[in-house]
Amino acid sequence: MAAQSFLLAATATATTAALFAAPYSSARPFHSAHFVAGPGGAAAARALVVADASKKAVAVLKGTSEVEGVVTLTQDDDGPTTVNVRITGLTPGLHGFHLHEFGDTTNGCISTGPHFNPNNLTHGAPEDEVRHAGDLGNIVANAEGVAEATIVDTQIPLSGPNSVVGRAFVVHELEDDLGKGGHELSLSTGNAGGRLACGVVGLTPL
Amino acid sequence: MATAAAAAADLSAPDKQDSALPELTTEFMVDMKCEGCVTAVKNKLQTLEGIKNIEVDLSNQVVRVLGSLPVKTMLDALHQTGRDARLIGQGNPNDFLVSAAVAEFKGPVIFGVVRLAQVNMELARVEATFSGLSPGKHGWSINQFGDLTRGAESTGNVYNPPDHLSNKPLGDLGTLEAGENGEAHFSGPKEKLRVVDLIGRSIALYATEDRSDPGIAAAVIARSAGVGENYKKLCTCDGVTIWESS
Repeated sequence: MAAQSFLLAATATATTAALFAAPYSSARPFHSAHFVAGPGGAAAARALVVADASKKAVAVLKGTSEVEGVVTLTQDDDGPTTVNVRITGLTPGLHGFHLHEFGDTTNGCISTGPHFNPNNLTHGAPEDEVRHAGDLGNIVANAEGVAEATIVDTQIPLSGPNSVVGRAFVVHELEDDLGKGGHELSLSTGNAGGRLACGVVGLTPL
Repeated sequence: MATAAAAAADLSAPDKQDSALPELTTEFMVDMKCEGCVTAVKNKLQTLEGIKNIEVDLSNQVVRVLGSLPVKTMLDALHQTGRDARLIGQGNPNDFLVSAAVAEFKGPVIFGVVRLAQVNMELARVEATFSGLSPGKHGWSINQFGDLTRGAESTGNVYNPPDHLSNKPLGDLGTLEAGENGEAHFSGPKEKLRVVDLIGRSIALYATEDRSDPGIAAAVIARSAGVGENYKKLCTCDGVTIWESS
C-alpha cells in the first residue's frame, strides 16, 4: 500500500514529510530521492504527487516445466492497466493467460484458486461484458516457444478493493476457448487445461 | 520447537513462544474417504494441546481446526495418521478484508514458506519454515517491494510504514537460526503488523545477521485463502485435484 501512504504524505505539511522521511534514513534509494531533489517541503510534496499518479507491479512466472516469464503491469491514475508479457518455453500456439484469485503457490499453481472474479460472472473473452476480471484471453507463442504480448485492460487495477497485487498470473497448457467452446469447463476456465507456470504480482519501485 | 525459540530472540514475545501463539482457525484438505478416517483424524488432533475445536467435513475432505498451535505441528499430526494433508485456508472468525498471506521461497537452493495471518487489528501471526540455509544466523525481514526480477536485490529496503515511530523498522523480523541440517523454523506473534498492508511486498533472507548486503533469497507476499474461501473451488479449477498438483 505504498501508493496510498505517499498520497497521505503528499498532502501533509513539510513537517510531516520530514518526520515521515526520518525512519527510512539514507538507505532508501527510491523515495528519499524526492526529498533531496526539491528545494523545500512543498516541492517535495509535488514530486511525490507526480510519482503517485502511476503505479507499477511485476510478476516473475515459474512452473514445474521449462516455462517461465516476466509480466510487468503499469497503471496511470485510475486508467487502464497495461500488461507487458514475455513468457518462454511454451509449445507454439495459443495459451490461456489469466489472473487468478490468490497468489498462493504452495500447492503448485493450483492453489492460486480460480480466475479472479470479484463480480461473480462467468468466464469470457477480455472484450466481453460478461467475463471474470482475470480473463485476459490467450497469448500466442511463436515457433521458438516465446510469447510476447501487450494487453491493456480496465478490470485489473493496481490499487483499491479489486487490486490485483498479491494475486497470480497463470499461463495454461491449452487455448482458452473464451467461454464459447461448449465444453463443461468453458464457462469456468475456458477449458484451458493444466497450469504451466504462475507468478505472484508484487509491488515495484516507480 | 527449540529452533523456533532460538529464532524468536528479536521478536516481540520470545518468552511466550508457542503457548502464546494467538488462536486462529486453520483449514486443511485431508485425504479422507470414510467416517472411520474422520474419527482417526479427530482422535489424533485431540491428543494435541492447544486445540479448541475440530470440525470435519467429509464430503469436501476439509478439516477445520481452531487453536493456538503452529501449522507445522498440526500438519505433522495429520501426516502421522497416514494421510495427505495440505493447508488450504487460514483466518479469524472475525472478518478482515485480507486475513491471510503467504510467501513461498521456490529454491533452487533455499526453500521455504512463510505464513502471515491477521489475529486482530493489532496483531498478526507469523509462521515460517526454511530449508537449504547455511547453518547459523540469518537476518530476515519484510521488504518494501515484491519485485523479484533481480532476486532479493530488487526488493528495496526493510518495510516501515510512515506511522511506525520506532527505531526498529516494523518489517524487521530479527534473526533466524538455521541448524546443521540447514533448516530453520519460526512461529510467533508480531505486533502492529497489518497483513493487508504487506500484500505485494516481499520477505527477504540474508546471508548473515547483517542486512547491509542484498538478501540471498526473497519471495512475494501473496494473498492466500481465508477460511472457507478455497476448498469449494479447488476441485473445479482445471479438473485437477490438489493431490495431483505438485
